[in-house]
Amino acid sequence: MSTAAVEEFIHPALLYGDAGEYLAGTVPFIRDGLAAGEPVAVAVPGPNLQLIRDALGGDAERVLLRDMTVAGRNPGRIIPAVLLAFADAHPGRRVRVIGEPIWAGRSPTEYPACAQHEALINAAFAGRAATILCPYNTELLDPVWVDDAYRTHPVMLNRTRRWDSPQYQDPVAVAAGFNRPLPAPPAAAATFTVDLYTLSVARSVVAEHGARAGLTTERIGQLALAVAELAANAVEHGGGRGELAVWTHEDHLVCQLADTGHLTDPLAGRIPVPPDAPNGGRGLLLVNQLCDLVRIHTTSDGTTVRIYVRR
Amino acid sequence: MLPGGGRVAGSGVVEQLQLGDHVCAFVDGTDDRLRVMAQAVAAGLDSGHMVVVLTEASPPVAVQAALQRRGVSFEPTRPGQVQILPARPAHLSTGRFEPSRMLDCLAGHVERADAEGFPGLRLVGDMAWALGELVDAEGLADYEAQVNRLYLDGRAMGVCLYDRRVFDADLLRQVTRAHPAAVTEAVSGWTPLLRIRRTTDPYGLLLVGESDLSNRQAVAAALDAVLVAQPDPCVPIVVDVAGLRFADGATAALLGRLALRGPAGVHIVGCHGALQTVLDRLGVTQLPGICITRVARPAGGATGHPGANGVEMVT
Repeated sequence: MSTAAVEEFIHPALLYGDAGEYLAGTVPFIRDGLAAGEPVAVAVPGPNLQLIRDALGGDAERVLLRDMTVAGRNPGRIIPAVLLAFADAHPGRRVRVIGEPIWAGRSPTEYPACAQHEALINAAFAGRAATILCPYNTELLDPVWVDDAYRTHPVMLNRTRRWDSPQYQDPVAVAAGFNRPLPAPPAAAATFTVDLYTLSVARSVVAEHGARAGLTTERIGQLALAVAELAANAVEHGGGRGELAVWTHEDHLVCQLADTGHLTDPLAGRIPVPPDAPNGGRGLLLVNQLCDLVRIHTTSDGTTVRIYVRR
Repeated sequence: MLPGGGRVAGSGVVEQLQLGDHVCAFVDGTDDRLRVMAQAVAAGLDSGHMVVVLTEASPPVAVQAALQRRGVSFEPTRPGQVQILPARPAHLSTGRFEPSRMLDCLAGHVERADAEGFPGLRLVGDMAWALGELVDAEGLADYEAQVNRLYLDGRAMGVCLYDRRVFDADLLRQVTRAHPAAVTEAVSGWTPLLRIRRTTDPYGLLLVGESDLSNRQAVAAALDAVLVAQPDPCVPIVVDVAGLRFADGATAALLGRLALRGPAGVHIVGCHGALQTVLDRLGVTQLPGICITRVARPAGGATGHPGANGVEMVT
C-alpha cells in the first residue's frame, strides 16, 4: 500500500428503527469488510451484539466482538481503547469498525461526553485508513441526539439510501459546543485542596470515600489512581493546586478536580501514548480507562474534570 | 526525645529516618532549623552514626551552642563523630555552582565515615547556600536528584533543610520532586513517602512506599543511577516493587524506558495494585525487555516488607 497518500477515513451514521434494519445495515458491511480482507471489529451494546453474532454464524469468529456498554462505558475511552487500539493493532491495513456508543440507556449526564466522542472520532482518524459505522436507533433515542448525529457524521445511511450530511460541521467546533459548565457539586460534597505536598493525602481521602460508598478494593485503587493523575495535572498545569470534591450521586461515586489550567488540546486523553515515549500525556488517558464517565469543562479561566465510578 | 516538638520536622520525624533516606525538610526560620539540626544530631549519636552538619545561615559555633542548649551532648563517644561545618566552602568553594564537585565532596564524607568505622553517615544540610544568583531552581533540583546516588546504597542518609521563609514556593516545589520524601508539616506517625535502595544480589532497586509527582525526579534519577552502574549488562536489572503501595502513570513510563535502555531489560518483582494497573493500561507490559512477576496482596496493602537483601524496612 502507499503510505504517501492521505488515506480516506469514512464515518457514516446508520439510522435504524428495528432489528431488521439494524442487521440489514450492519451484516453486509461486516461481510464486505471480511471479503476485502479488512480486519473487522464490532463494538455495540450487548443485545445488538448478540443479533450480529447470530446473523454472522461461523463468520462471527473472524470479527472482534466487544460489548460497548463495557468497553465503551466511558465514551472518553472509546477512541483510544476501542477504535485506535484496533486500528493500531493492524498497522498498514484498512480497518472496518461498527461502533455504537449511544444507546437508549445513556443518561443526560453521559450524553454530552458521547456527542463529543462522536465528533472527535473525525479528528482522531483524519487521514487514517478506516471505516467506522455508527448505528443510531431512531425509535428509542432522543430526537435531539439523532439530530446531533447529522452534525458529527459526514455521511448518513438508512435502509434505502446513503447521503452526505448537510449538517456535518468541523468536529472540534462541534465538540466544543458540548464543553458546558457542570452543575455545582452538592453542598454535602467533601472538599479538599490538593497540592504537590498533599497528593498522597488526597488519594487516602478518596479511598476512604470509596470504601464508604461500597466500592471493591480494586475499584477503590482505580479511583485513587484516577484522582492522583488529575491532581498531578492540576499541580503541574493548573496553577499548582486543585480543589477536590467527592460525593455520591445515585449509583455512582463522583470525584471532581477543579484548577486554573486550560485544556487546549481537544484530543487530550484520547490518543494512546506509546509505552516507550518520554513522560507526559498519560494522565487523562489513564483516567478515561479507569472511570465509567469523565466530564470536562475547560475555559481559559480554569478546568473542571468530573469522574464517575459505578458502585 | 528532645524537648519542644517542632512545627515542621517535629519530634519523631528525624527519628523515623534510616540510612538510605533522602528527605527534603521544610523549616520556618532559625529556631525551627536549629531544632531539626539538634534532633538529627541526637538521633545520629543514638545510632552511633557519624553526623555532618553543613550550616549556612547560622555559623557553626551558633549551631553548637544551640545543640548544647537543647541538651544534645557534646562529648560524643567517639572523636570526630559530630562535625559542624560551614556549608558554603563545601558547596561553592570555587565561587561557582559545580554539582559534580559538590557530589564528590559529599561522597568524601561517606567514605570517611566508612573508613573511620562508623556504621553510617547522617548528613544534615542547611540549603540556604543555594540562595542567590549562583544557583537556579532547575539546577538545584538536578543536583538534588543526583545526590540520591549517594544514599541509594544505604550507607548514608541526608536531610536537606529548606527555610520556607526565604526560598520561593516554585523552587521548593521543584526541589521536593528531586527527593524521595518531604517533611512539610509535623504529622504524628510520619514516615518517608518513598524509600529507594540499591540492591546487589540480585542487582537492582528496591522501592518501598509511594511514587508520584512529588518524588518523580528522584525516582527517575535512581533508575538512571542503577542503570549506569550496572555491573553485568547481560543480567536484567531487578526492581522490587512488592512494597510499592502506589505508583502513577509516569512511574510506569519510567520503568518502561528503563527496560528499553537496559541491555538485558528489567525484571519487575512483586508487582501489584496501582503499578500493576498502570503498567497494564499503558501497554508497558507489552514492551520488549520487561519481565513482570506479580503477587497477590491482601487488601489494605503492606505494613512491612522484607527487602531483597533481607533488610527489614518497616514503612
